[in-house]
Amino acid sequence: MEQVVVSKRPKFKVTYLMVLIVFLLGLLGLMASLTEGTILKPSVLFGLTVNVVEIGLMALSLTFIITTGGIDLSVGSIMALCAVILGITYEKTTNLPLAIIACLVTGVACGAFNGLIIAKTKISPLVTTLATLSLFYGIARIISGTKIFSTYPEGFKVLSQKMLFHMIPYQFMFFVIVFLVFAVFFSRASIGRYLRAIGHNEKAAKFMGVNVGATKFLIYTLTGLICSLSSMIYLSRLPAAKPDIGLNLNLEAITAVVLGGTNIMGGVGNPSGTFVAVLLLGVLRKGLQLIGLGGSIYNFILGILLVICLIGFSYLNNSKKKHSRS
Amino acid sequence: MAANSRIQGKLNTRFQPGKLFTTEVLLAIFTMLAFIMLYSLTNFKTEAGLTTFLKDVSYLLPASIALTLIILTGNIDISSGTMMGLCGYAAAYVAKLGYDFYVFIPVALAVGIMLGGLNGIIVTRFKVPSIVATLAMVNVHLGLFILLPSGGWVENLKTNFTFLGTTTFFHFIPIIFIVSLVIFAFFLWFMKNTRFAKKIYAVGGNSHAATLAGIKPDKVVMKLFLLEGVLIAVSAILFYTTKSTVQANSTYGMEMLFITAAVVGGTSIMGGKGKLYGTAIGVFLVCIINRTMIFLGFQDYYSDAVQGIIILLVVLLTAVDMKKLKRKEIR
Repeated sequence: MEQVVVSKRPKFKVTYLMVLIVFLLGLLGLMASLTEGTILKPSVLFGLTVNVVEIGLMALSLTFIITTGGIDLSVGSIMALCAVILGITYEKTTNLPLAIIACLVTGVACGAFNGLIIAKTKISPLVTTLATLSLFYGIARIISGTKIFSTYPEGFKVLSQKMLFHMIPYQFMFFVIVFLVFAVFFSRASIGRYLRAIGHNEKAAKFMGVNVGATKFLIYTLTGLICSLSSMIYLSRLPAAKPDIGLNLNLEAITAVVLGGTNIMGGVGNPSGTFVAVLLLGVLRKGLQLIGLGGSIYNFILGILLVICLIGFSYLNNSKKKHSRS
Repeated sequence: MAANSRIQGKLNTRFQPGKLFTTEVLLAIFTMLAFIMLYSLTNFKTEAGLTTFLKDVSYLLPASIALTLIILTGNIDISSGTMMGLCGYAAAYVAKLGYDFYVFIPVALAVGIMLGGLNGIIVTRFKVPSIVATLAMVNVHLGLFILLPSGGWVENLKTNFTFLGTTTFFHFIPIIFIVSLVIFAFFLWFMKNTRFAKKIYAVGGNSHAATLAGIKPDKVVMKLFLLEGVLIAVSAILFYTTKSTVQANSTYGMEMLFITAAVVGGTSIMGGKGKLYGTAIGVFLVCIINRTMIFLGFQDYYSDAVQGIIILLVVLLTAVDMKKLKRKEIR
């Protein structure tokens, strides 16, 4: 039975990616007609790619985690904590390299903390990261108090203001590069196969010779690193480090991953789908903004979208397999 | 069940620090110590302080029971906080129109059952992991708050709504505390004497084995989500009737309190293991920690970090315990 499923999967993946791209173009068309073409202007269209970079980076590393059957709910909190650390270090020392190093170290440490607990103790990732979600958020709030750190040197903002050919923002280029690296690693390197093996059947992966604990530790630490990178990109765009910048980011990132075709139960991952889904969410948010609907409507739609995706995918999986994974 | 107790019997011959910590006995002693500390530290001696404390306990208790039952089956519901907000808003909205408690309480219950049922259908019918499903529902609920008339606020509620929350016996025991105690007593009886309770443990302990024993796990989980809706609605009424202004999003984030209470009380997050009286002790502990931190002058944002640390610690300790158990079992 498993054999049949495995052989069918690549075909399904390709068609789903196409469906997603068509959906993206359709949404773009809809938004264009609703905003009378404003969204299709190059400045707006490439401008919206800036806003999705942080979410996109997190979603890419979350794709890895969800492929193994895990989840990381604490991404938003790690990002907020990194941002606050960067802000406070720079304000105290006015030493930018030191601040950046502190930020990176914080991210890696948070990710490693998650990874260590999940890999070593076999506690389910969702509980661990639910606890660290409030832990990191709480630490960020304790450190910052009511202050908002908003003084950064000019050189820091350069990243967000320069464009390639006066059109394509550098952050987006960075996102694309990271995506390509992730996609290649996922489909070509042995680690990608390990991730899928762990997601399908952890015990079997172990007997196959995969070091499950180390792999899990690695991807959670990687997610921490990615979160600290996201926090820097965020701060170069909006220089205001406060603890609540990370709220709801986990939902957005998870929605992008699930919408991209990664199975929430693990075993099937799709970085390219995640990439397209991230762009789709960016178009949706910018479009709603241009129409004049606030951020909470966006979150509402996001929630509904996630529910629909989850239901749809599980329906597809169940009808294919008859028996659900239990 | 029999095998489990046999293993435990074998283990009890040796001293186990991790095991001892998670036992409810020690927790109860700890709670009492904390209570004494709080009592001597603060203005707790005054009747007002005690009443506030009991009010905190009374609205946390039913919701924590609900979360305990859900966690016992191996599921989780992180939308319970926002669900509570919606239930409370519905009740307050009806009360504002001038209806009495025999109208607004059923309305809140109906809303709770609806929302709980929705979660249940998504989780059981479509096999979506409950944490992701309810994470999505949190945002749906938060979006609903915005769409509600006047942004999810109901102001200037009259005594037809607030009498329940403000009435006290002997000037310090709030009536809502009695209500939640009655609910707690009922559930203690329920967990001890009904077949359904056994099914909950069976589903949480080993879903596959439960199926083979003739239990339908999906049905049990679905019923539990409906029950959770009812209990959350009760909690909402106990919480909001103490206030004359109802703000639907004020309970956002409270789900962490419920989960903390359940987990601290010894409910295994993997399901299948846990006691309701443990949860009650957990509720007391959570309230005491919050109160103590307020009285010691910490800002409220310390509580996020503290909750996270508590959950992690307890879960880590139980995991260490489980590992030992498994090792023994294999031998």
